[in-house]
Amino acid sequence: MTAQNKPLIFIGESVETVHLLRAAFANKLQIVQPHTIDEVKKAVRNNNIRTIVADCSDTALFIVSKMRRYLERNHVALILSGLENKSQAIENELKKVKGSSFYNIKNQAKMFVDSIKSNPVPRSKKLADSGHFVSSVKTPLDKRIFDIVVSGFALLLLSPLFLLVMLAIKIEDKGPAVYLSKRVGSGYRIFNLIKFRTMYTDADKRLDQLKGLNMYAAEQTEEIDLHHCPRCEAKGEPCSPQLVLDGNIVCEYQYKRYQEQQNGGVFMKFKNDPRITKVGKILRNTSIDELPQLINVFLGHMSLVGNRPLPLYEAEQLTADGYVERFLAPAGLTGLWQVLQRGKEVSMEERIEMDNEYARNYSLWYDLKIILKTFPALLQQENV
Amino acid sequence: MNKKEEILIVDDHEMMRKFLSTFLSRKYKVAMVGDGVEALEWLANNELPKLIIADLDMPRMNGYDFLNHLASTPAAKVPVLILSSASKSENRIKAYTLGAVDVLNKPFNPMELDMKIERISASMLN
Repeated sequence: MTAQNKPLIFIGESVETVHLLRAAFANKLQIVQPHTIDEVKKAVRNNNIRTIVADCSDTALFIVSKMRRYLERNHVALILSGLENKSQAIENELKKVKGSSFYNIKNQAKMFVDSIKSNPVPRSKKLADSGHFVSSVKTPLDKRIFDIVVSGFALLLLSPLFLLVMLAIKIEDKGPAVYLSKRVGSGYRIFNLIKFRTMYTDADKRLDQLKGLNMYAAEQTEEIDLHHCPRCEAKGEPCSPQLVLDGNIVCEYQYKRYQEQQNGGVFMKFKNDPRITKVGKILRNTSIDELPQLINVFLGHMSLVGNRPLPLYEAEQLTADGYVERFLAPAGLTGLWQVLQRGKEVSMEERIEMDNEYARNYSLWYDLKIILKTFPALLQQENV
Repeated sequence: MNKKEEILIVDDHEMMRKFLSTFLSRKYKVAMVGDGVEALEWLANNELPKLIIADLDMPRMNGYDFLNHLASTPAAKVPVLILSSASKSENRIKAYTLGAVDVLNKPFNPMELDMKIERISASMLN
């Protein structure tokens, strides 16, 4: 415990607190009593202090309140000692300084001493947000203004195109021109993502017909042998990545094919999905179907740049310890993943890491870089 | 629960804490601590919250020990909902035995968590 070799900084004059500390640490503890803000800073810097003790005298509270940002930045915890239960004034002080606590040394002497004993070891960043009331994630103001200006302008410029597209959709297949899909945004806020409709209104019926076709196709396909991988053998390479299944080594590619077959090929993509309208095909290839999301951006449901707003079933798989970080960033029209993917196969883990990376780093400047890289990615013709 | 009512989150994973507080702070006042020791300390120094949401696997003092210690403090009456990645049924049963009112496994649907909180607070009124 550092308490023995590091001095303890005590701001204030309370004799009772000093006595208590002397007794608790058997006089081994050196107590430094700075009287000004500069003296406190000097003592913190020179001894790499992580905890400061103060009493509730006016001077101490004044110093502490002036120093709250300094304490926060340097991850220094504040422990207040009082002779009475905490008053409203003290309560307000505690709220201002992150990681601070209060003890009435008359009836909480042991806890007071214990908290000093356990604290002096760096109260890490981990505790920086502890014990405090945090409001929901807000998009930084510059990012929000950028979103409003750009999406507003884009919507104005694109409005003639929007009208034409809506007309074309309606002419080919009667029904709504847009399609609303429930998505999860920043802080798990659920909103309706707006897209141009690219499928027939009776797409479900068409899907049933399609399943019939697909099953027929599955019957025709060869039995997949998990222990042989013709693709890798033809390449003359060992299988990679490899999976261990019941003690046998299996090629991941072959295993995925096997699983797809077992699932009746539900996840197969079709070159010519009969559910998609002719207009829809053009809209998808040109990504025009995604443009109405600018309305979502303008309304603040999402941002221009951010993590992909996930459908509900996908989102709820990611509320585990290593994954949730992604939901702390705004959802966006384009993002790190869309830019870096560019045709490469990206694994689930890599995608999650990219999302988390964005959540850790996002800023307007970072966004601008992503936007510049988006255009080539957008124009890429992906006819699948 | 109205906005005034408070939930204490006990989880060692910083991002999980942030996520939960972001999600829950729309309806509740949220306080957060990183392990059982800090939770007991917080409970001793603050007005009791309406609900505690605690992880099981934490350093210093895990969720089970926390439930154990909590039982002998004035905060024993505060309901505890366990939210943990320890998905085995034995773990859930152990948590129930130690006094947890409900258990939810990670990954979880936040809407389900919200629903469970509503139900716990409704049952406390009776």
